Amino acid sequence: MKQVEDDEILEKFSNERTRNEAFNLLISKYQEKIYWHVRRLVIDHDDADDLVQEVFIKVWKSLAKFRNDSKLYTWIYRIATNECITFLNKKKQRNQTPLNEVSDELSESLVASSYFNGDKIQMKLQQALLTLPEKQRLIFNMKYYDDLKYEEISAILGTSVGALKASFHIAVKKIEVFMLNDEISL
Amino acid sequence: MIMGPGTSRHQPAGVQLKTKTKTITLMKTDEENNEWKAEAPYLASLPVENPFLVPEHYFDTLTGAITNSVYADELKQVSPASGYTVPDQYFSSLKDRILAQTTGETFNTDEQLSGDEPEEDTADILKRFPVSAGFSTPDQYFQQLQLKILAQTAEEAAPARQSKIVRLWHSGLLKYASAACFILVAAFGFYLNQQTYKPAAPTAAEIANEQMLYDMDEQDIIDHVEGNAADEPKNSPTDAELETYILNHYSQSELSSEL
Repeated sequence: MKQVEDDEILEKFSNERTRNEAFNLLISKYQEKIYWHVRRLVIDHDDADDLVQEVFIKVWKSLAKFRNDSKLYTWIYRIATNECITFLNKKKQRNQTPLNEVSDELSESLVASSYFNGDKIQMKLQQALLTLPEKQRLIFNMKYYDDLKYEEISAILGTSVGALKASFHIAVKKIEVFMLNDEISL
Repeated sequence: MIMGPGTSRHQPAGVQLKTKTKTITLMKTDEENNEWKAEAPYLASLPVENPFLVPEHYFDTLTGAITNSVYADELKQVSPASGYTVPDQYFSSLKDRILAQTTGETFNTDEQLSGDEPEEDTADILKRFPVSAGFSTPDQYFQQLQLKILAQTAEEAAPARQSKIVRLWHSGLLKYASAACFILVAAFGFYLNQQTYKPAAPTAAEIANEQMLYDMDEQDIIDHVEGNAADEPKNSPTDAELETYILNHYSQSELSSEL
């Protein structure tokens, strides 16, 4: 199925009669990408499901005010990223636990999840990711899994390309060390 | 205009240069985006796989779920409440009406709402409640309670149990033996007392060794000894000496009157 161009979606959305159609097209185009982006950050499927719906509610509310000074998908990614960070912060405050303990909690839900199909190496890679600071994990996911360019990530996170490169390289080195040094114990 | 190597004849030189620049930029970007693979060869060797799963047909239904959520959210925005309405001041009088019904009274809300009577505050309404409002006891609880209390207090007021008397002297022999022991102990104590408090006379050696004597002046001791000798009474006179003395100093008449 041919992907609809963002410009077409935006044009249809600007028309009152075709607004719902445009939004359906937008959901169809981005729902999976946004879901996986969210899922890799919050790990749990149910949390990801709730957050994806919240993201698209925000997109629906704000799309009329969207200006073409950024790309549509970077704008949606930014909304999704902010929702995830807010969610993780709330989780931290609710449990009154420091961020590293939230990572432990995510790691536990990763092991206990019935919606995880990776082998031991994939599980270890996910656990290595959970040892990273939130922003490094975010950058690594977007670069490694979503294969986004530094310029695109920069547009999403509002961080300079240089800082992104540095963060990504640090993250990669940490993961490499984790993968090589720690024995696989699952 | 200098044409670069491999430039096509059919394209203008400007377009060809732009294409070449774009290609170089893309190559550079790809290089930048892949340079991490040299730093982490193990990670680079792993296939990029998504280990997570979703429930079956999840993405088929996700679009519908999202549009439903958006619709529900829009409804909330249009009518934040449930869509139902209540009469004016309904919630302001609701508390009073609930309290009135709890006490079994009929509360005239119409009057209150019209403002004909001053509104009572909650404290005033609570004062009108019976103390037992809202609570109940089993039938005849208080009659039985009184009996129970009386029964318990009567138990407490009952005389204390008589203490068991244990005889000290089980046999006559023990009695006499005790008396004998007492006498012996008393006698021994008396004897010890006498021995302890009897002052022992100092021996001559002890006196000689008395430190005080060494401290005193020798002349004082000599004077003291001589003085004692002077104070000693002389030998008592004999009968003959007394008779002589009496005859010499008293007349016959004085002696006969005295006798």
